[in-house]
Amino acid sequence: MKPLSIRDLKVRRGAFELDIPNLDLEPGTIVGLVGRNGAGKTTLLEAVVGLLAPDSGTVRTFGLDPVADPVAVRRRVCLMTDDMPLFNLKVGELMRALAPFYPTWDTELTARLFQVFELDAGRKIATLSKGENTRVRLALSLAWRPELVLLDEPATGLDVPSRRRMLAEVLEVVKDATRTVFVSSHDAADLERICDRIVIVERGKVVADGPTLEVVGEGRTLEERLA
Amino acid sequence: MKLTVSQASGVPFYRQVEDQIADQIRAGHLPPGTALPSVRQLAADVLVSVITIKKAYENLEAAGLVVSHQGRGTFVADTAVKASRAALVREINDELTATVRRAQALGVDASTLRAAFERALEDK
Repeated sequence: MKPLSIRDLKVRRGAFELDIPNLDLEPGTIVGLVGRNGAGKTTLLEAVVGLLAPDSGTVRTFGLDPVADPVAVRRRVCLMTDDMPLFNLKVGELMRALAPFYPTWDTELTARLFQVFELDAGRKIATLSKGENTRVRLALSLAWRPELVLLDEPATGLDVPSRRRMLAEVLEVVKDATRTVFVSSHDAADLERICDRIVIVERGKVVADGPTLEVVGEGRTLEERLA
Repeated sequence: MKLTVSQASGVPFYRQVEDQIADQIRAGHLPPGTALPSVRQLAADVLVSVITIKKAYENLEAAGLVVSHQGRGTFVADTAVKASRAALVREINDELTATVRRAQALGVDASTLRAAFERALEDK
């Protein structure tokens, strides 16, 4: 079963319509989702986890319907978003509070992520800077080894060294060739670097989709391609 | 194996990876039979996509510098040094041809070119 399979998907939100006739993700790949603000990246990712129900068409993750079967889907798929609500506990308490909800929570990996992202277990969530908050959300999203990792703008507020650590952790996910990452970002250079495939959306539609080198074209960067 | 790639160089990532591994093989740092890291391991180490490393390994294999055995991994080829020498000769041929074409385009005649080539040979 593919990590993601979309057919004839339409999701309407006011005047905006997301319209994806066909989109599949292959296991073991990192796929970049690119587009301007309002192009439909977040809508697409929310539809994948079932936060938004399709107006028509189907979304299947590992063959499961995320709207009809949210628990089974949420055990295998994570969505890290910018506005993911976090209880205002200390970072360490938050991790301990959430871990029991995930049968696959990996305590060794959590310890490593604390180190990599320089998290301070004693800090209260509300006192964290934007970048620190992003690092906590990244750690939370990766610590239970979801099979499909959806990341919506995972670099928000990160400085250069943290951004590189984030990229390394994303690549770490696909060391396991059964796991998959679908990541949206405004940082074209980062996506070009780590993504096997790039999907470009414009006004709710996919306008380019293919291996990174083919979509970007040799002799130019993704940023130049998007300009 | 230490590799670093940079976006600033303008050279595609797969080419940078490929060239650096080829150089290490030619320099003898990676003797024949040496196992290269798995594609996914090297991708995480270098911070580039899996597809980039795959392409670099495929090109190295096409050039005869490495061999990959299904399920066992990728190894420096026994004939790597010979293959890399043949590739270098081809590269030099291409460079010479390009130089001659440019000279012709600029109207430099054959005898002047020959003389320049002789001088370059003499000039140690």
